[in-house]
Amino acid sequence: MRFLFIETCQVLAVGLAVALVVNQLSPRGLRLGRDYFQESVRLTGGTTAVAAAPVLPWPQVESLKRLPEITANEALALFQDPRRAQGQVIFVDARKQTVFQEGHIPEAYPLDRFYPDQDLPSVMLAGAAAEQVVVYCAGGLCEDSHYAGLQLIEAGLDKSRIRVFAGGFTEWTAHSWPVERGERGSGLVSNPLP
Amino acid sequence: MTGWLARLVLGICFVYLGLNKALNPTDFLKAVHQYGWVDRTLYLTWIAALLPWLEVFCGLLLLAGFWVRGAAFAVFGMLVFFSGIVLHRALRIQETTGIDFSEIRFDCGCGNGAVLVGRKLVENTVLAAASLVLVLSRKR
Repeated sequence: MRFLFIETCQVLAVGLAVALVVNQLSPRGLRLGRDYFQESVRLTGGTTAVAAAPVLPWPQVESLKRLPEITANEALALFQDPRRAQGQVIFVDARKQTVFQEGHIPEAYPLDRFYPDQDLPSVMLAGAAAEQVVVYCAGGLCEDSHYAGLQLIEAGLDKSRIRVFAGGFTEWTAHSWPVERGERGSGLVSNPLP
Repeated sequence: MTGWLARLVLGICFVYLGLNKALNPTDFLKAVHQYGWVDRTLYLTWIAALLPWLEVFCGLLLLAGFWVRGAAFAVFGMLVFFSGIVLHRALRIQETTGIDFSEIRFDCGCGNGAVLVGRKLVENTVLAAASLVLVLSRKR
């Protein structure tokens, strides 16, 4: 029994050490000092109300609703708004890069909130000139759009400009509205609006 | 023969499922966040960053035949603990929604997306039994 305990401790110690090193070396590794669910806490003056809120079980998980949300029709109206062509209305896709490549709202800026270093500067640049910034993720139970919106506010964007399209990409595609594949601005758009 | 088979099955399962999580740590992080079982969400970052690689490491030890009892006991502990929280969440879902237990499906963060929870728990029980076989049968 004692040998089993010692061997298990050896496995855990070496295994965790290996895990630490591999996570540090991996480009997809997480930053161990970063709390990926605490942006809201910092924004609300250091309270722990959000962190302590109970998480309801699927499928009743409540979306955070800390940022104003818009419906699919409102998102479409903003998409068709002539100001979008002038960069005064922008869309931000808060899903991960691989699914962004598979399809996104045309001209949306990618912003994977877990790896913001690459995309945040360009989104902030565009967001600074925009009157409306619409953030979306997959929709449904997805909370990434809220967190990405909070990340933008933390980076300096005016909160009043940000809207979360709660239905997200799932609702957008359910309506068969335009979808762009590949990079932002690739021009590979399916279901273009008349 | 039983031990060899148990090592092979457990090793392959843990390497495969561990890698699925390790290569998509943010998906795993979101999945474990859904449980709401950790008050300080910073701990979730550590769990999501380290646990999948620990699983891969244990799986490789089992396949290699090195530190087998220790790896099997660690695997047993992980299976029991995570099966417990998956079951707890499933029961809460059943209580809240009234959905039949056999129809409850969600991404348990187990490394293979949304699954039927009942089936996942049966699988975990089989794997836990296999790990116990290794813990109990193999002499030092």
